[in-house]
Amino acid sequence: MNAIVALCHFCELHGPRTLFCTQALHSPYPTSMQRPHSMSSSIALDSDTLCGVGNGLGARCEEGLVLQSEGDVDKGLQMRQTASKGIVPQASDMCEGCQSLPAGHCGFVSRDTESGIVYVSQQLPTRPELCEMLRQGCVRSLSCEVYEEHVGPVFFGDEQHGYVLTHTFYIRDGLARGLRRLYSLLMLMADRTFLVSCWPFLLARLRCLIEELQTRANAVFEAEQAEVGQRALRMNSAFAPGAARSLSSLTQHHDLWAAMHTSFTWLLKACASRLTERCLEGAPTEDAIVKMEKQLEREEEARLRAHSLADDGEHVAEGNKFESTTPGDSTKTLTSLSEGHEQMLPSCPLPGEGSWGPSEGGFQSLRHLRQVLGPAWFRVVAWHVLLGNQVIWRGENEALIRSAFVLLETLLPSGCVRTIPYSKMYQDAYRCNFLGIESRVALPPHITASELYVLVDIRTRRTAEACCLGAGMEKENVSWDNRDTKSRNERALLWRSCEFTVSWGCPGIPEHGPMVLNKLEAALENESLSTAVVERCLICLKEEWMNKVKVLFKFTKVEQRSREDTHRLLGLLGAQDDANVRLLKFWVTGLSKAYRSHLLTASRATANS
Amino acid sequence: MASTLFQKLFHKRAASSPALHWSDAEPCWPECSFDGSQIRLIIYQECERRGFQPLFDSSTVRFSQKENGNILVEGDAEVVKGLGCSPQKLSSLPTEFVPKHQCAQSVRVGSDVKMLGEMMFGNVAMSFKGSTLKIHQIRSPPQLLLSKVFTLNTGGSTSLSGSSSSSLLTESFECTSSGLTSSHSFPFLNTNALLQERTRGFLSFSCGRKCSSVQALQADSLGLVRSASFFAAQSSPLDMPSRSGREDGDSGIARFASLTSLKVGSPSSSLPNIGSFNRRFIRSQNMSLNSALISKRSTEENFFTSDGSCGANPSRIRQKRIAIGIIFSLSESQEEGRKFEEFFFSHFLLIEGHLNCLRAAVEQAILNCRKIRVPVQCSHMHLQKIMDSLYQFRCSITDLYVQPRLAQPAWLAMSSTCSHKSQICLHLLQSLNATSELSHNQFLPALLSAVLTHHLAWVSTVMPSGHVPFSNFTQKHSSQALDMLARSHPYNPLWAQLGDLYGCLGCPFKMARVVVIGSQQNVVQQVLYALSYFIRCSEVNENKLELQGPGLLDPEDYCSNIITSFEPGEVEQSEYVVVTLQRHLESCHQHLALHKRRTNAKLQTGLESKLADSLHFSSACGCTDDRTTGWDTLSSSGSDANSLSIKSSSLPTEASIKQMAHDLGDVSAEAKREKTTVPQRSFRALCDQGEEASAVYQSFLESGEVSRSSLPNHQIDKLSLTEAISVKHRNSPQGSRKVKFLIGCSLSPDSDMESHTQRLEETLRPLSFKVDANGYRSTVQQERNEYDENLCTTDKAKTESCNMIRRLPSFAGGNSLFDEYFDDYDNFETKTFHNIPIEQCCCEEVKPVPVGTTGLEVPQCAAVPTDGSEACFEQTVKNTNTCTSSDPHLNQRTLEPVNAPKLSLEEERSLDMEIPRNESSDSALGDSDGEEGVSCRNRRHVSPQQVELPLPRCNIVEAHSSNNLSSFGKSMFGGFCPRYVPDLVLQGIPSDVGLQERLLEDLNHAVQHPVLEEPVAEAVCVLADSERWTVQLMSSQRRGLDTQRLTKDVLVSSLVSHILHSTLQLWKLGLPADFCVMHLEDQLQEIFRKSQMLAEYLKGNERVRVKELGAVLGIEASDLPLLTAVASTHSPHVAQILL
Repeated sequence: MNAIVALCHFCELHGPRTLFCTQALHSPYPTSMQRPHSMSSSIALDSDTLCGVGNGLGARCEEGLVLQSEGDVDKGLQMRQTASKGIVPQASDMCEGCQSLPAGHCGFVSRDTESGIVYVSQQLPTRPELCEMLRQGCVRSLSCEVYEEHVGPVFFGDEQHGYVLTHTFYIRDGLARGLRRLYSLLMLMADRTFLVSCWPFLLARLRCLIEELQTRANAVFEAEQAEVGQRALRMNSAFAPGAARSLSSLTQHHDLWAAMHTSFTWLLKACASRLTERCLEGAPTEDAIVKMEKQLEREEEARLRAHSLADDGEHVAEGNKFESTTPGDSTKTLTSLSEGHEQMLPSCPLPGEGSWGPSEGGFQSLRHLRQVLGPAWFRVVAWHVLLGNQVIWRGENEALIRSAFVLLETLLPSGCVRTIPYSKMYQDAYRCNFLGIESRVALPPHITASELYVLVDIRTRRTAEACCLGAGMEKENVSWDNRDTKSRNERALLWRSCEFTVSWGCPGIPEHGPMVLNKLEAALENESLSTAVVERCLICLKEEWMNKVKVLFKFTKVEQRSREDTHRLLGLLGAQDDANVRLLKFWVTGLSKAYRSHLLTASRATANS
Repeated sequence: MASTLFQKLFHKRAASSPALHWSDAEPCWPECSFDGSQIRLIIYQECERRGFQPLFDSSTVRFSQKENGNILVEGDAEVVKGLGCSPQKLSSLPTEFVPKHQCAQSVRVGSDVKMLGEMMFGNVAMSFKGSTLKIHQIRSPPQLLLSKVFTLNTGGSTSLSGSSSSSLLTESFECTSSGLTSSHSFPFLNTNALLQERTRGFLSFSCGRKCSSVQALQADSLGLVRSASFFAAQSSPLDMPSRSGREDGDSGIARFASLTSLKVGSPSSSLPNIGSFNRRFIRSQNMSLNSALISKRSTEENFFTSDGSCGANPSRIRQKRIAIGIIFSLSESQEEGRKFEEFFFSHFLLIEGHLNCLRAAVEQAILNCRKIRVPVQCSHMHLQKIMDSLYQFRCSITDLYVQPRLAQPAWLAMSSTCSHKSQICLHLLQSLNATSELSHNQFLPALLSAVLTHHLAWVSTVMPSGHVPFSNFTQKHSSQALDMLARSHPYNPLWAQLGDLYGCLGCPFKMARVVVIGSQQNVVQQVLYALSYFIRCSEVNENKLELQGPGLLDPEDYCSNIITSFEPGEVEQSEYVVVTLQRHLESCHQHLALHKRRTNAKLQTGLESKLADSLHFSSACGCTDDRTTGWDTLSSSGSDANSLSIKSSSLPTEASIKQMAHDLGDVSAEAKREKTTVPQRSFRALCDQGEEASAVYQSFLESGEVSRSSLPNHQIDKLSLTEAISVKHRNSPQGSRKVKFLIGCSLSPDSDMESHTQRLEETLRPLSFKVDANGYRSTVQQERNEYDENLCTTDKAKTESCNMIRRLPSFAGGNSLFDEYFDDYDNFETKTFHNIPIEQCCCEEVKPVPVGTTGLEVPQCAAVPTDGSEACFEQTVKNTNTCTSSDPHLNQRTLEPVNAPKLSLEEERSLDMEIPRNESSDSALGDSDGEEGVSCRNRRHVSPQQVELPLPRCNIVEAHSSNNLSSFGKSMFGGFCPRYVPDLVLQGIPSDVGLQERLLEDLNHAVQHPVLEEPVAEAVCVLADSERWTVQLMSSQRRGLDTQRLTKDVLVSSLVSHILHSTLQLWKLGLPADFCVMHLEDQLQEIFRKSQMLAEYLKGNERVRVKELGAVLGIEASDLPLLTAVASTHSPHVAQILL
């Protein structure tokens, strides 16, 4: 807790004094932030006006002061200010009664390594402002707020001097005036509501501490009285108050201050942790869970991969067989205008376009991809992506294909993504829905016969002219840096060297694609939306539909409802038409295992109960 | 299968339909009895010469009334009855009774007036003229006195016109008073359009101010804005000239702020719940002792202008201080009294808000009296006004305390208990369903839209968390970042909770509450229950804490299972305290690992395992045996405590360290490294004015690390100690003056010294013997009886465990430092090489060098102030010598074989860096030359380190929330209350007669006296009428409203409407309730996502094209208020654009 706990004493000779205080020092950084390590090293070793670590002693050491009385609260501030000028406090300002730690003792420290809080005890705090606040609190607790022998808890304070909860008490001392001395325990805070809310707890603890002190002091007192009855003595003779005695001698507790430190530290710590707040935050996203699951699977796969290597070799040979097969009848080919530039600059990092852009050459964003392919073809590709058909990109340029996959993958929940970015041969659809293959690889006939694929062929014009042009362009504009600002035409120029051909199996793309696709296209088309907005939009769309997927999964797989019910449900979800249903069905496969098992076990539990 | 499931479900549903009533059975709010008459108001005025003078005492007013006649007694009784939560006079104040007080004024005051006045003003006049707050607890009769002393601006309200807020304040209270003289409850709001204008002006002013500051600072988050302005305010007064060269605390925070702004800027930040995290962290920063006061002063001036700080203004010379005191008479029954106290202290935020209101009313009444030059005591009007505001105060407090609460707020219940979860879900859906079926229209969607728009705490509960706990992932879990924050930067969780409840999360801050109106209690309660799921807050638990470790003086008082402290020792008066150090051990584990990594020292595995064993062992024993010795007091024969501690002026220099190293030849590299680096580190840390908490903190951290880093050094050959000392004595290259103080040197004239040394030798010898023989126990007990029985009796393995358990140094003992050292040495290796050598010896051992060589600088310094300090000086030197002589040898002996070859490259480099300096000083050791003196002077600033004590352990015994008085979580959710209760976040009331006027006043009050101590831009109240099925919004900000209507209709968000629809439909399709609620949460998360999208959109677009939003992003116009509000919690720039 950001507070100071202190023990104060009303000295018969010197008035209210702070004897001992403990404060908590907090890191200026929240723990979840990394504390810059430079901090310690950047502290310069500059001047002579340095101060001691947790106390002002350093400055005084410099001037060779021997401060017998640190408890000189009245002059504490002054002394600090004048310390560098070498003003020596008067010996008359000190007495044992208003002093806790012996001169030169630097106090106590406890460290809470867990939270990084350091608890420091000294006679007075280091900072003059705090000294002043504490002095104020001390004076008020021992004089201003004491009425008619009233000892007990008082809370007082103001904005300027902080807020103080204090408890005054008497300690018996046979040699003191009235056979007792007035002390107070106080806690100083800036946060008054926090302090007030701690009142019941704090008070109980302070009272315990006080009782303990008093019990000990009483024992000492009784013992002393047994020897010399002060009361009787004083009745007979004029009383002159003797030398003030320290609290540790009044209680015969030689480790009093160490014990005080521990007690105060505990108080500070306990007050801070007495009330704990529990804030709930949302469950992690499906994507996050899936990623974690994939991470776990990856190790497994790594082992499996070793086994599958042998099989791969066979597939390569097989794949070559189909190389020359022509695409099916329904395949449409369109040629995108392109010449000249073959620029897959793996060396030149791209300007960041959010998390969209691949880190090396290739497609920059979905919008870019859409521009390069043309809206119609993009729609075809996206349609296949969203519905879970295999998307095959064939070409020589691996980086380009990879960049396309990075973008296209974002269309799907990550649980639905299985990518083989570049392979020497065809891979089956169950292994991957994104497949990049070398240009010489042909698709096997059962694929070309099916409807469930889309093939993007990239052909590079390898004319010398094109290369020159590409190279030239590469030099003349630091090409990729300011790509965003370029017009469409310019952009198209960059891709002149590439020729894209999209072919797919099914007879035609239905006009009513899944809703996700329609909305995405609208967003991509609207140039006024930045890439980041489109990204956010896509996240929203995915999340919205994943939520529908969850419902559908629960409904059909867990509860196993009838077709009719399911139809009603789909109506409710706004996903009645075929494309949406297909999308949902595909996306169900992307649900994380954890989620599935959770639902299944939950339903089993309810069924049992 | 499906059909059976259906049957099951339906059957279940039918069976559980009584669940609607199930929650009503469980009491959430304890039965409280409290009466308005238990609140007494006294007002004093401080006169410059005559002390203080009572102006008003509510107890006497009532007393005189009773004397005066039947009618008045009746009226009074009725008032009292109304206060005591009787169901009559529900919705509005029975103002018709107020005028009766007019004739019943009395100047008589109670008998305790003098004492109370003294308590309120203090018996010594304070120079501070600002507003102060006090709370006294009076034992008999049990009372709580809450008082506020403030300066009255006798210049009158005209002189206040410079400040908008105070003039507003003044105005509003003038209005209040004029309103109250007429028979209407609160007519002033209808009549006084001027006030409304002013309010608006003020609000726009404050908003504008905030916005401009936002722009000026280019700040990204509201939190940042606040913190940034706070830096601006703070930096000037604290700016110290010597600070220029280095980082200070401010910039540290500023750096954090900029970090945060970066994080906030990208909503996909890894920090979860950035909004609430930020808010809490900034609160803890603002409320830290180091920074709070200055920053608060600046805000205070803006929002409580009349709250003092007028002393600076010379034009206001005539100041009178007024004290208002509220006395809460507690019930004689202890239980009741305790309950009220608990309520009082935990709900102080709210109570103080009401006190401020009352204060303002009193202030106004007194000022008015001044204006018409009537003595305050005689003024009927004044009395009436004060009685009226007192009446309101009583009502508010009593109602807040006694009114019924919602039995089980759905969200809190669901987040706290797992067992009932499905039941709660079921109940929630039933409530939602029933309400939506009853209302037949857009009532529920509109209500939810309004609630979700204004009570924004739900946002952080749907934000996906950054980390993925694999188990139980589908459920929400508590935020770890916030947990850590609460530990490292404690803030008031009650404050945070209340802020959550009021929805003070967006930007700008808005406070919101919901009132459901309807005469049908069950319908209202259904609505309330449903809403209690959407109005969310954190859960605050009170932990029962238990002290473990060295306690407050007597730990027994704190927990029963702890060890006795202070057992008398067999020898002399020695005592010891028993301590356990579990936590510390754990941390040692960590730091051991850390150390290993850092030093790259491949410790011998044997050593490691031994150490680890010892750690485990000791932690085990910490658990089983609480009586393990922690610190003990040594026999303290010579009790001159003064002279026997570490001298503060002792000067560590690397030179001496180095010298030691060379001198002794075989100091290990490890030891060297530590010794050389430590002073530098602390030096660095010391380059501080001492005012900057962060730097101070840093230094402690540093030294802590350093000392920890030396952990593995314990494995030492203990035999070496005595030898080492003697060696040291021979070798120590000290000046002539020093020599006589050397330990073991017979030249010393100080006989004490001799004996001291002898004792040292004595104690060391058995020790080494003992270690040698591995028969730790017997020797120790023979030689030094103060060992704890337990420690010794356990067995030899304990010797290792001792590593981690330290003795407290005894400061009173004649041989304190040495004893401390000795203790640690023989008993606990950790301490020896961990703290003493590093923290003290690094400082201490160094000292002889400058002393011996550089012309007795230190002795001179020490001797200058008083001749009497000679003894002290001697002791100091002696002590330092003790350290000097022993430590290096110890280190050397131990570490040489172990660590020397394992120095990493880095370390060698660091050594290299430091060695030259050291060598130069080394060479200078023998002769004193001036240059060395200079360098010594610099090094001298390394202050001696504090004595490190183990952290007392705070054990959380149980987290219990047995009663709900102690936090806002449940107390803010009202049930079906007979009348409007001002503070409740959610409540149901039977009728809205007079409600709107009352509410508006309340909302204005909330803005003027923000209970959360942060400026609030707007306070809103959602009014849901369950009879007419309408939802209205009332705001303190009356922009765009015609003067006739106080409320405006709520826009139904299509998103919310859709969510409700789909959730309820799923429910109707027979999906289990848990799943429907899960679906609901998913969809709330969608809203959050959409708000992120909107925020992103607004980044690029200054103007919002609603059409585009709708067509492309699927955001409809009706969703915009909701989405912008949500967006403002994570992306504050949204508010800037849309305001």
